[in-house]
Amino acid sequence: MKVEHILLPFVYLFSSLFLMAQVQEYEISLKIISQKTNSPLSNADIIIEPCECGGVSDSNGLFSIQLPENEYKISVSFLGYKKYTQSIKLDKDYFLEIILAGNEEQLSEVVLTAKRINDNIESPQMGVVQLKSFDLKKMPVPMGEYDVLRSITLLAGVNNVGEASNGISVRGGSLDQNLILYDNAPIFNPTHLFGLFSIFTPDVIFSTDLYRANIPASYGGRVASVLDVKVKNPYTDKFKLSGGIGLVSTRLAIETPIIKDKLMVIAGARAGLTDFLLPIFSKRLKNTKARFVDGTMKLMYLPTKKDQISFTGFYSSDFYELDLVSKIENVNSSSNQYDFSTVNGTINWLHSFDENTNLRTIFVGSNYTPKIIFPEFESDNEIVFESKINYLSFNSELSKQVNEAFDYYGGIQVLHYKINPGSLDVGTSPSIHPVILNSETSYGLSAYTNINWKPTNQLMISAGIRYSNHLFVGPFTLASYDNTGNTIIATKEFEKNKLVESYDGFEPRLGVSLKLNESLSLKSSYARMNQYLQNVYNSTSPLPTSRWKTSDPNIKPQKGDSYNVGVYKNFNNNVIEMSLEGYYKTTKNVLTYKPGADFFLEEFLEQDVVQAIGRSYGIEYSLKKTKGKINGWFNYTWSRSFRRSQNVLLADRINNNEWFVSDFDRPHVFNSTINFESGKHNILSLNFTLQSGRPFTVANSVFFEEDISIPVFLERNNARLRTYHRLDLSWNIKTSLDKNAKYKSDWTFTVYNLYARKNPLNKFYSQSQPDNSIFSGGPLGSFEISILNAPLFALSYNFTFN
Amino acid sequence: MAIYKYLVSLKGRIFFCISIFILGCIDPAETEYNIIDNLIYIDANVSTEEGTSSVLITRSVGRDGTNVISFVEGAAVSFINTITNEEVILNQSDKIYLPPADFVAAVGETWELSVTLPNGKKYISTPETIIETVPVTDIRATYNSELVYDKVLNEYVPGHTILIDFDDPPNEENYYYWNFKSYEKLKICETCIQGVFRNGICLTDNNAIEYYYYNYDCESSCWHIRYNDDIIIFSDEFSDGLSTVNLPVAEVLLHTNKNILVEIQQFSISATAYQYYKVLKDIVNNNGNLNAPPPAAFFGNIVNENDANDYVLGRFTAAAAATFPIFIERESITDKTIEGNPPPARYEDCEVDQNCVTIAPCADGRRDRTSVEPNGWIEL
Repeated sequence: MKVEHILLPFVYLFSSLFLMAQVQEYEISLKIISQKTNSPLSNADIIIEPCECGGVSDSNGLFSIQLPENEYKISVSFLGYKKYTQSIKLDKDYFLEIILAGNEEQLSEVVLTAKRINDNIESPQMGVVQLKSFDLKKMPVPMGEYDVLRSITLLAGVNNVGEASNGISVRGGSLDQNLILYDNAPIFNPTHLFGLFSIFTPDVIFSTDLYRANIPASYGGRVASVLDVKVKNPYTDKFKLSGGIGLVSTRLAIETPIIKDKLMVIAGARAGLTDFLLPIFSKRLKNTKARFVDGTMKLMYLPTKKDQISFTGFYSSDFYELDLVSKIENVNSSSNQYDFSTVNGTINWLHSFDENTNLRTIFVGSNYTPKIIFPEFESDNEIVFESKINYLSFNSELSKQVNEAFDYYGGIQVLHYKINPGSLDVGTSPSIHPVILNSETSYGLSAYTNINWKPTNQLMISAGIRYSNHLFVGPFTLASYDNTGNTIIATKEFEKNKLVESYDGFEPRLGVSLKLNESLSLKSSYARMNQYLQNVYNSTSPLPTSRWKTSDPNIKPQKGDSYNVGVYKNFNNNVIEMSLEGYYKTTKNVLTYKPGADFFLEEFLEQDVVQAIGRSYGIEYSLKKTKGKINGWFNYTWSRSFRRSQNVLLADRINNNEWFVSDFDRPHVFNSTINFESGKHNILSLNFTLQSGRPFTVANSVFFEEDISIPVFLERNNARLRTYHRLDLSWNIKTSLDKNAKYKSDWTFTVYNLYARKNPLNKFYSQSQPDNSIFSGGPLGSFEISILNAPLFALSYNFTFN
Repeated sequence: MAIYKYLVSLKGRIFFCISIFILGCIDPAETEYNIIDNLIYIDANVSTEEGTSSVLITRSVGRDGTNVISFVEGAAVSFINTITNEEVILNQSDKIYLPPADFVAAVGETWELSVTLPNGKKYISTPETIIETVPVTDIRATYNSELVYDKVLNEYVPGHTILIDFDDPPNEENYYYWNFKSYEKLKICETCIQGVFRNGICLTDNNAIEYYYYNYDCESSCWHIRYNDDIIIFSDEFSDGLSTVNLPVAEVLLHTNKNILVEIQQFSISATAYQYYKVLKDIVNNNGNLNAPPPAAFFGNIVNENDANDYVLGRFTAAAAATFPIFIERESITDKTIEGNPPPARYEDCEVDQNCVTIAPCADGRRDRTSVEPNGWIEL
């Protein structure tokens, strides 16, 4: 059955659900006034519960919203003012004039920009989506723990390899084309447990922003997207603690003031040490070891009313051993064990000159250390491979809101990479030589500026430019090759800090929004991105130990150009948001690999690398209902993604240098998340995803090498796995209804893969077994590998004391 | 109670989680092909052992979606010694091209392959120099009751790992390739289900209602041969000049618990041959893993000198081989074998049928049988 045939009934069903959810609604109108100045207060934060809705007041201090009949608690806050709270029973239209009193004890005058409620209409920013922590908490995921990467694959244009995917693919890009930031620090390996979980400590996440079209000029370094995960700012005056115990992981988080109104901290940690239980669930996991920990701490210091300094520390560590990973060649050992850790630190200093002018200065240090441990046969000795990425960055950015129609920001970034590609510590082994590859050093210098200009009430322009410069310096051994590219004919040595190669480029970013009326706008945008760092791996999804490589004379930077158009329409007073976005992207110098490529401790890895070109295009339709008893979203994406190698030698060509579909080509993708917030007791959430199967390669023939049947592959990705679909459920039941009760509790029950779909991760050939009739006596057998073959249940009990 | 009070005083949130999780499922699936006709595959070997040099030329023929390989007849095939220009003509013999029976190559010689197909296309290989094999200093077997995971049986199966030691020659790049044959002595050479053995075949009674079978003992000594289905290679890139110990070169599964002789063949191969077998290994052994490399064509060292865009698959390899046997006693192993316990032997009742047969030949023509006692066999 074709995907579109399955899809249409669901589109109809979910559209109907959205439209039928309209019950009797009334309007709440608020006017926020400053007691100090007796003038309207714009940008005041308004939160309305239990709808988790709200927004900010406009320049006249006004805000209005339509909501179903119910009891609501309205909270209004603004830095420098006391928080205002009022409960109302909404059974008619309300108009409230709220006067915010000044608060002399206010912590800081640092201005934080909130988003307008119809930001999707007015902003010239395209292809951006934000998930707040409460959005993430509603989405059912494996093991019941909310998960950034897993949740984000339910958004339009975002995909992955499957359940075991060490990253995400955005609009057909490869996994290393996304800049993943965790409080401004880069994450080189974003998952635990072979890709089942993301490494971000769940209890401390504040928000997740994904930019996939005209990426703001303040970001650079990847051609496909930026995923910006933020840690909560611990603005708190009381101690809070949360945690959890589960079969997979145990969690603990605290949030507390250290010095009242001056120094606060939030810290969370998670550990998964229960791999000894795995054989209970599957014999296949008998030899599997899988342990992980992660922890995040954020200190917030408010030295003056105009300064805010935070420090975020992050640590993540994994250890695993799994039969389903190919062993490294030529290091003789009983097994391969993977051990990798990340240590990140971010210092973020925000200084406000006045309420419209801010200077943000950020220092980042990041250290990623993957290891492979090789225990020797019949010996206590372990051979250890270790590589390392050291990243340092300094970024300073000045932003100014000149007036309501014009603001700008500009900044510089200096960064430093030191990559140790690998060393082999052989311990006491007499059978292997120690190896140390030269470290690779590079610097990045960038300057950027961006303006947001609203020349008329209808037109809004965001124009930015980023200049990036990449300097690759010695020590380095540069190899020269013959015209086949396979034979080294000479090498040249470069001394420490001597320039080996430099690349630079201007990266324009442009977004234009034309507002046709208060609820309808058209947008178009363009962005160019350069990428000087790539993950080198000859498989669909990288291992955590896969090599990272900055551009050098032989490996050119990737360049991406993205063209986007879209139409945006809000309905029912911004309760329903609809968008239709189209994109066309081209990329140059995408990494592809020669047959048999092996990068383990390879000094001249360019011998196995060939750079290809890529193109992708698609249309994304999204409908989101933000409020009401039934809320959620669905999206449908039609898209294509292609690659083309340009190899000279016949044997090195992929698909004989013809265009072929990339691993991330998914012509049809339908995602839906629906939350049924029925009454005060229950919230029922459903995720459904349906998409074309992942491309894979079927053999063009079979020949025989002695007694081994060998499939012949002349094409690449000439078939597709079965259609992927999955339904997940999350049910939250509140057992305490008294809002003033000190003790509150609820149960959350989640089922991932509700109807036990065996979605194939890969399909592969095996030697046919003549004694076995499964493969009808053919020369090859075939197997599908799937990560899940049953529903994944999780039950959690939560309680709170106030 | 004290703990309860402590928890209550935390003013926090405690989270309990129960989950069931089943991971890593491998199921048999329909074997798919996208057949391309007329691909040419050449598997050519020059060896230092008499009677083992040969050239196989096959062509892909797709019929009704199934894969068929046909032997290419009428090709002009020769080995050329690039030092002496000696040309050895190979003749077609029962779907293989063979040199004269007394042909052997020697260590240090350099050979190349020349093939002209019946359609006139001419292919030639790059030269290959025969490298001396490296002696194995020790060979032994270790038993593991859960050696490998069997995807069809969905469980770990037992077997022996063959480990070898050798001293890698210093200051030169060395590349190794191993394969093996194993020999188990057979008592029963034929089993006919719902039928009887006559004139070399089982005559099946299609009208038989009841299930029955007859066994037929081997009329002479006979051994069942099994072959490796993994590609085993090794490079000294990290161990040049050192002693390599405990290198696993074969996994001999416990199909039965009969004693077994394992013949390990070791080849010293060239760097390009190693690269070729690395591609084969990725295709054959590493393709079902989470980090499976994308499939690739196994182009070797044979090219059409007149047309750079014409290609053949396969490779010409000139290598010296050394054979190392190891005999493994397995009769005392009590673990469940892969083939399980055979049903009790049943023979035709010669008192009822005077034309009865109770023995069958070893069927030497079969690739998995031999009546020639292998070197190293121990009769216990």
